[in-house]
Amino acid sequence: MIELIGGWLAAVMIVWIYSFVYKDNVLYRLAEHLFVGTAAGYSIALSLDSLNRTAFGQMVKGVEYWHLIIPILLGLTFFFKYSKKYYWVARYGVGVNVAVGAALALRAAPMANIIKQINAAVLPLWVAGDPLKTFNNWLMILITLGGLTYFIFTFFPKTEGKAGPVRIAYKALVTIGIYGMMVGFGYLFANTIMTRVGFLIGIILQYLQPRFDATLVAMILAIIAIAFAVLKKK
Amino acid sequence: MDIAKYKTWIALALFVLLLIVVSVGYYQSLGIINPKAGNVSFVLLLVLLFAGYYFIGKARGGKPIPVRKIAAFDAIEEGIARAVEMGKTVHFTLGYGPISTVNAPQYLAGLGVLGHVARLCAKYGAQLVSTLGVPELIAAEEEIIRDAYYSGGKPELYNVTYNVRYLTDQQFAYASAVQATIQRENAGANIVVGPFWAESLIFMEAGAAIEAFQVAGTARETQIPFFVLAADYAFIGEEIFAAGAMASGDVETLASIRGQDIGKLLSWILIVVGLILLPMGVKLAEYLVK
Repeated sequence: MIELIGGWLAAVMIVWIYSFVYKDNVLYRLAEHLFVGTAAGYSIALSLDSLNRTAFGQMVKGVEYWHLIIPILLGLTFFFKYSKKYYWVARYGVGVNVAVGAALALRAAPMANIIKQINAAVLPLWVAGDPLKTFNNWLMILITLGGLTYFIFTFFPKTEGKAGPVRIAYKALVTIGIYGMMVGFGYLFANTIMTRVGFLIGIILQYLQPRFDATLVAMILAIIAIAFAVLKKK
Repeated sequence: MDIAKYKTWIALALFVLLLIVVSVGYYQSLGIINPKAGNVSFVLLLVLLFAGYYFIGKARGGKPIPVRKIAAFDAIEEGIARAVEMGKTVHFTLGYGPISTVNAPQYLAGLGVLGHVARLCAKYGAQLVSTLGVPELIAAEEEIIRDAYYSGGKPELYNVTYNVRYLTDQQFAYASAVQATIQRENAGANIVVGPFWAESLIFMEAGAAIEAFQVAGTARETQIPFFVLAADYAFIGEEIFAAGAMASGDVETLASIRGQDIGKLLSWILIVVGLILLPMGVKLAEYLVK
């Protein structure tokens, strides 16, 4: 029974959320607020559970886990934001969190951004008997070098005066980089849209196909949502 | 007792505590140091750190750092001025989720751009609505916007519950609330900078539906296409870091961008060297991954 109610509730929410495509309306607001409220409650439950499992639950096991008090104290510093006098203490907790994130990003940077890039871009410039492969390799190398040049922000040729060979080469590389990126973005865009359409078809198949009465109820709900919006507009 | 006097000591104590945690972790074999990490990778990391440190030192000495023009950055002012002319609000969002992840630099870049947006809003007298799903950054956003309005001589425009709206850290709940906020507040300018996932197109659609002027950027490559396609101006990938540094006006942050550029120049040079060595039978790429 609960599963049945859950299924209907999910179907109703989907239709109400989709009604935003037409216009913001009271049913969308209801679904949105339910969604945000539920998500907030879920986050609190997850956080408390995580705190219990990874900190307090470990600390009671023995003295070797007592160092976990440090992140707990850092977390508690966040509450200083409510003090007008000592609000600056909250910055230390945020600072450590940001530093951990930045360090994680930095740790992987040389391998992901430099070595793997070089690994992928150092290709033979001439492949005997395979002109297509040779062309492909040249394309890969030029687009990689062009893209890298585009993302160099603080070293660039002077923009005033007559264009010399360095500026011409710089502009040519940047142009190749931009066009290469745009082709890549086009591919990524199409790929993602295909996935999204797949989701939509999945939802339609799940809720509309098997039973006629379910389709009918979904349509009625959509009409109610649109009617609300139209009436409010008037 | 004025705790503010002991800020340096508190910072030092926290640093020592962190060192203790790392040491305990190391001696308990918690895998803090990865034995599989390559030596070349470590050397490159040191080079990048040194480059950053060197240029920060130079910048402190007063040496200016030129940054190339970024169209999307200049467009922010145009968007805010347009919103004011139309009597509409300015909306900004920087994403959702926990900050202590590899996306932290993107959140920071977003905060830098928020500072710039808030200062411009104060300059033109625009109402700014900033939505976010990063609980750790609520205090930072409040401070940034308050400082901007107060220093811009428009304290009457600052209302913490109106200007800063924490929604939730769950992806689609955050997305549904942000798209509704963009439309309900009738945003004239919609500025979206930070790490984004599947919600990026939702924000762009919401802005486009009310004909908002949109400037968007992310360094997450799978989402850049949506911003490039749907926004009026887009920051492509690492442009958000440069924009964040430019927006902050902080010479040390700009210097760190130059440090990153050294990494890119190094890649450029190593690719060319690798291409030269390849016909001689030397595979530089294989050597580097060792």
